[in-house]
Amino acid sequence: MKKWLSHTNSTVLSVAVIGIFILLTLFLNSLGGFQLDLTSNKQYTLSDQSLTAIKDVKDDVNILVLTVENANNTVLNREVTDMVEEYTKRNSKLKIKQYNLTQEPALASKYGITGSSIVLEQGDQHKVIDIASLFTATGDGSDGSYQFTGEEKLTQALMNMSSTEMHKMVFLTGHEELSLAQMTTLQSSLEQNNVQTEELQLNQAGKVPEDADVLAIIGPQRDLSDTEMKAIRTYLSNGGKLLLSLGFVEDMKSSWKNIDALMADYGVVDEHAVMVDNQQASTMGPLWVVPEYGTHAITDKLAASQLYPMLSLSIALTSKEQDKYTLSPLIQSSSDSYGETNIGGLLQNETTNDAEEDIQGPVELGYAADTTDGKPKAVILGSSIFMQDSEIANGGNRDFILNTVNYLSEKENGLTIRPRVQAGYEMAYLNGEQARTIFFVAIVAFPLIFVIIGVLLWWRRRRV
Amino acid sequence: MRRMMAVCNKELQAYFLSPTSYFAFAVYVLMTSLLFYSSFVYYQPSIVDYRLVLGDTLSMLLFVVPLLTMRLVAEEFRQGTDELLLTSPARVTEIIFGKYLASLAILVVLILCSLVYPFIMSFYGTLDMTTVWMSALGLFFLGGSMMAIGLFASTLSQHQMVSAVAGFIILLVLWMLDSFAGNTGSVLQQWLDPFALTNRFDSFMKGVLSGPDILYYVTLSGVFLLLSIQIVERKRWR
Repeated sequence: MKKWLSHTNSTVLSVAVIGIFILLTLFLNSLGGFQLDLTSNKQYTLSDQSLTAIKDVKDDVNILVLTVENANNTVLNREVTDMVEEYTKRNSKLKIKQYNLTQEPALASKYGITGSSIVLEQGDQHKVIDIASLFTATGDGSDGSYQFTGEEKLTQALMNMSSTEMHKMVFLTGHEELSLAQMTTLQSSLEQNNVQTEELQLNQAGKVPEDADVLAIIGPQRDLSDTEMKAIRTYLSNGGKLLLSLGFVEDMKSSWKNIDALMADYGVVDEHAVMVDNQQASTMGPLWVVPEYGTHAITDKLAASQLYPMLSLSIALTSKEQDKYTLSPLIQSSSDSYGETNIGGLLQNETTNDAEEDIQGPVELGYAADTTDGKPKAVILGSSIFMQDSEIANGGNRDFILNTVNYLSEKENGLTIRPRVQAGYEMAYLNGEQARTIFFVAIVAFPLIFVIIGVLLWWRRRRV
Repeated sequence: MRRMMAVCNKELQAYFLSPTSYFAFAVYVLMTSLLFYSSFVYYQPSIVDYRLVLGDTLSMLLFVVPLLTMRLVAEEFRQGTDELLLTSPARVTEIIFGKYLASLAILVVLILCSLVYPFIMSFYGTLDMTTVWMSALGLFFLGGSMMAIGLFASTLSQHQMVSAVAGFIILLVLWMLDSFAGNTGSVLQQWLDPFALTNRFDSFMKGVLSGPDILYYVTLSGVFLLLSIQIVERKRWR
């Protein structure tokens, strides 16, 4: 009887302890962020904005991390996975799934991705974050240090996913503008940011839809008609906002009467000169300008992250006094640049800085016009090509235009999570002799020490 | 406490005066060194990051822990010395904890061995020492719970090899728990994930001291030590 009782007690105790262990583990696991981050730059401590966004997720969100694995991006991919895990720890509605992109062509095709990406998937909707866009080299990049903006981008995507705030942007057509078909990456990025896009043939529609938050005129090759001008001005005077981005046209000086007039409404003057920059140009040549940023809500964060757009065939702009709007320069070329006014010569590859005729640098290439009470009204840029599919992935092009649209459409949930600066991971280039030394120390000498001790002990025992 | 330390001392002597232990250490060190060499030297250029090396060498614990713990109790049963132990003034709890303490001392030796690799790496670049020390701490918690499981397996049979195989199987199941349901994010995976041995180690490698992870390892060790005590107690009543 005593034995039976003891066995029963023992079984009950064992089952109870295992049960407590299971419950305790599950409970502690649900606490998520109960941890002490000892990394030097608090790499795994999420900002309050992120924590709030994570807490607000009410429906299941799958976070797919699709990476291309190779020796060069091991550490960067790991950084992304670590970050996503910090999110999934804190809300069981968030689930991480990891895939090797090259082994998942179906997924790549489903989400239209070609490189390492994070995909947030909730029901039918999904949002894609390009992993390459999360890393920016700091300084001159010589020490390998970089900035990581993963938290900002992931939190923004989560907020957009749960947000019901929708905006509408209409793109004017009919003047050989860049069509949405040429800007599919931008279109998809805008839609992921809860900005609905559609094209507008003003001659057919008669007016700009009243529910449109922003009217975009991207790279027009022909001038607007007087009727269209009237419809656009009506829309703008009724609270509409304008994104006007110029495109290069040979005879722009003589033929852009209405486009120039529309810009003049906001105090911006089209100088009809193409920027040639010998200092801040990219490796592609002096017609490719990597401009400096002015101080403005659109550009401040980009400047801090050193994310600069790469513009080509940009048109020089200047401003003139007017009362209704506050003009802020957004981007400008270097002091060593000039606006070539001799377009005929430029087309023949003959361009020299003529101090008399040409516009002397630094020259503005974009302005933001705000109302006197600080509300965004218009953004006028001297370049458009950077928005098309072949160019948008270069430098900070995508970030610059998305920030511009977000600003114009007055999106309230713009984030200001600081990017984390990470020390570059150190690479070791070992030569043959170093490799042999490590081989000898680690593989030969180190195990041999234990073997020798073992043999000595065995020898001693044998003698005893 | 005194009796527990006496058991611990006896076990440590058995470990450190036995040539077999040193041959086991040598095999462990050789295997981890080969993995270290292949991840740090074989592919060039290599990244000076201890996490990349440790992730590869960690699985060696799966093999070495059952071998180091298999004889702890099984040997007593085989030689019949368990009767002497169980009739001695020492309680079963003290005996089990004494043996566990000795296995932790052996674990510390293994951890010190594994620190040789970051030491070698430090000659070729600057290591993030926070992650190195945190990884060593994580190894102690992970290895500690594995030793408790190995000790439990040792109470199951009087044959050392049976104990080693049982220990290996239990460890392997807990090690692989997160991959049983695949990478699907399914409900089953969600339930199993928190119990996977290696998932909990990731925080330490990152440089994060995570409360749930530490408590998981401590309670897991506690559970298997208690189960070991219960098994030995049952044998006493038999």
